Amino acid sequence: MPKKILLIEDELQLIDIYETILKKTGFKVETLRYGFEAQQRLKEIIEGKREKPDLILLDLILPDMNGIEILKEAKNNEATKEIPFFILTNYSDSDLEEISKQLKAEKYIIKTEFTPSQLAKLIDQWFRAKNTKS
Amino acid sequence: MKSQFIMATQHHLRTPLTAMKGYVSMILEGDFGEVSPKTKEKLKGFQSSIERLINLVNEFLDISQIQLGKGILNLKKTKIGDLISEIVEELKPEAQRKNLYFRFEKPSSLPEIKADKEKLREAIFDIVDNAIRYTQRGGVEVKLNINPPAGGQRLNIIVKDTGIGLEKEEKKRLFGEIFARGKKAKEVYTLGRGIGLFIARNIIEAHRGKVWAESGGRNRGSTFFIEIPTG
Repeated sequence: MPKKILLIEDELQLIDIYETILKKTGFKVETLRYGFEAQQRLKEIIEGKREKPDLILLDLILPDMNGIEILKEAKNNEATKEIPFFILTNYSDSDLEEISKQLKAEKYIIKTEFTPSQLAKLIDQWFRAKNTKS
Repeated sequence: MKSQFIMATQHHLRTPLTAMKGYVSMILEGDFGEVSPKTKEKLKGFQSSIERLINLVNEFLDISQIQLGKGILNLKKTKIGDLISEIVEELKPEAQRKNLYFRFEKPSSLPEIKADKEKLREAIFDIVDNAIRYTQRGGVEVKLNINPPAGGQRLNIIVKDTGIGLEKEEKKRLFGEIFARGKKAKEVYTLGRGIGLFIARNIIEAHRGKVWAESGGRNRGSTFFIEIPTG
């Protein structure tokens, strides 16, 4: 079964890039562009109406809110707190990185530091390492 | 206010760069179909320009964070001798390409120091890289020693070159201003941007250290001194 990745990203070109490479790598990808859509999705997961993704790639600067709010909401609820998050942003800020770590985000990735295939490889390796552990 | 502006700017600059980097690398890797060798060659040039622009944005960000006092150090025990050996190995090919001698001396045993390895590496790399960049004949020597004054040991890193040298007033402002470069450096070379030494000074000072330069004058070489407490 392919791993399901939920991409929360508003930039259309980056959506195109990440969807293309992640699908090519063998993941199932779904994208949400707004914070309110992500909040709605969390609510649906909590209510049992939607399946949990295996990983959420979360941009921090969304048109309607800061991605940290979504991370907080997910981690503060029993039903969603185990969903792994990778922060995927171009916002390098030591405070935000620290908050993400405290909220148990798995990684804080600066987008410009990775080519799409490097990012896909990183995610693939992370899933493999996780499978080996569990 | 300044902080918000800088943070917003870095995000806005990096976002289109991410898309450019992403598309170019995917085209080169054949994700959108076959690419001719000629087009590949040109795209690699484009890719390298994008990387330069990304590095430039990162450097501006480093400066802004340092000026905002947000450049937090990640201090860990660091083997400074190994760190400098790595820098020397990395720069050796460039010294060889220019037919310069490039020597490195260190004592047989050195204490570990508490440092932010990546940041300190960046600072020392820039100083040694500059020494090679502005030396056309002769070469560069890197020496590492421990100076034990009262009240604690200090580690000295000395980078001596036989390059273009510095005039008296240049020495004073070299580390102090962004874009400050020696007059001669401006005349002869175009590669340097004058950002590196400013960042280097801030990183070394954040380690409670000092950095300064001495020179006998124009074309008489320069010696850069870095002093960092070991404890």
